[in-house]
Amino acid sequence: MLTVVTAARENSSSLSDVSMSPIETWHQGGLDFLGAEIHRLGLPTSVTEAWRRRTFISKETGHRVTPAIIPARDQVLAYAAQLRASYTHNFRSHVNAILGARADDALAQSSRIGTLAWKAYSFLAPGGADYDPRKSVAAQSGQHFGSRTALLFLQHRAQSQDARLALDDILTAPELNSVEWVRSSKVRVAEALFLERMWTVTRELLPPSEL
Amino acid sequence: MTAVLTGLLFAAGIAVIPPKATPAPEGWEKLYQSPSKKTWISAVWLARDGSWRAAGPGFIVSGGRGTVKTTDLGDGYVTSFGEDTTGVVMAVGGNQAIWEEKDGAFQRVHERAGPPRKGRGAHEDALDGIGYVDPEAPDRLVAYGTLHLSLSRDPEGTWKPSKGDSAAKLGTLGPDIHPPSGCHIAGWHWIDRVTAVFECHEGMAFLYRKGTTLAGLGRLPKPCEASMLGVTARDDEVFVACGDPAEVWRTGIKGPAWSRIPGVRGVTALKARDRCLLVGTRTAVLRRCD
Repeated sequence: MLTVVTAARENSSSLSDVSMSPIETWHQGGLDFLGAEIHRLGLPTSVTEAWRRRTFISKETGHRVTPAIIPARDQVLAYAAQLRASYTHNFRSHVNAILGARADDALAQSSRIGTLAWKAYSFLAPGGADYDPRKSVAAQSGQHFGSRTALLFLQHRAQSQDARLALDDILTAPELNSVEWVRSSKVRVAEALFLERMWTVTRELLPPSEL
Repeated sequence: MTAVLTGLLFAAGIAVIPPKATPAPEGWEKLYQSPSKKTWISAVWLARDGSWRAAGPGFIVSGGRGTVKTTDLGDGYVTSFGEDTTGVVMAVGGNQAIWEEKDGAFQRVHERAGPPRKGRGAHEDALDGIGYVDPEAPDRLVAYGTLHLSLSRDPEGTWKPSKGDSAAKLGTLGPDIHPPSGCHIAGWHWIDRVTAVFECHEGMAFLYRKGTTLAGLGRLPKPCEASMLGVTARDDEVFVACGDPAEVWRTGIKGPAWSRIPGVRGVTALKARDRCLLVGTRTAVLRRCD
């Protein structure tokens, strides 16, 4: 359901457009680097060989972006693959780098909701600057406060309390609520859980033949 | 004080090289140094007469024969340069803007009616390239956006929206060709009205000219596997800008073998013509001539 919510929020027509009409995932979506990620998404080449990529300098930031041009019907698939890749490649690498030998335990102890929040966050902001403990989170909040920065903050926070970092702290640490990426991630997770609940209720109410 | 003076000179249309400007790398000639770190070079062009153009947010810089002139574009933003068959240099960019150079000055000859749209709407109004990309109308100059927006210049010189989106798709995706066996096209890059380079998901690239695949360019450098920011060519050489920060590689067309051209990093635009290669970075315009 997080894929459905993400696709709907990034490009509302992505859920219903099953045509072969090409769309560009930056102009018409939120996959700014899909073109650069094509070959590490784990998708079959029978799908991705029809995709194109283009690289240009963003007018907004002056930095390079590499979206892809894909058939409209592939959009949900692309969002699902990018969500997974951002979590598996980027976020897990950050956890390994920051927690070292404790990484696997921390990932295993994370609740499903906590994991969903990190998935949503690493999709929105897979990297991030270093956390500066001399400044408040609010003072550092912005485009560069990515999922890596949040991990570094939580690690610093745990160490200062002589505790161990728990990934579920993303849900409860009040400082992180000043980060727009975190707020947006939580909203997306809430929507995904709500849709899951609706789906469950619908299945309970309707006989299988009508589903 | 230096910053104030630099800003005044820039606003007055006089290009300056700040005192702390870094020297040109060996083998390169620095033509322009941005007066601000907050700007960047978004497009470059080498004209037939050897003069050069470069653009960034709100400005076009023109140079040649020892002079450098800056044109203030206000909120205009150039994404790409081109030229028509008579050699008139043109620029395209956001808000469907098209500039033509006349008597040494760039004049805005088209833009979208009404106030500029913001957010995603602004993306839909961006023109990305200009050229003679339609094989069924080879004499029609087309300015095109990513997939759906295109404008064509009529014989009177007026720019009008094209019918349908085939011209925009030709500009962005190239013509519908059968690539060589083992190649699935990953990107299409026009170089001039009849020449393009297309890259393959499998890592190779090919030179296309006048409706046929002219030559294989071999396996592209590793950094090109993720993204290729630009491609240009001259005579029997092809240049690409790849990687992040982007660097420049070259190869000959006969017996392709890619080699990195040292000295420049953070390339944002490039253009080759005759003996020279012009490169834009975030802060400078550099030229290298044989």
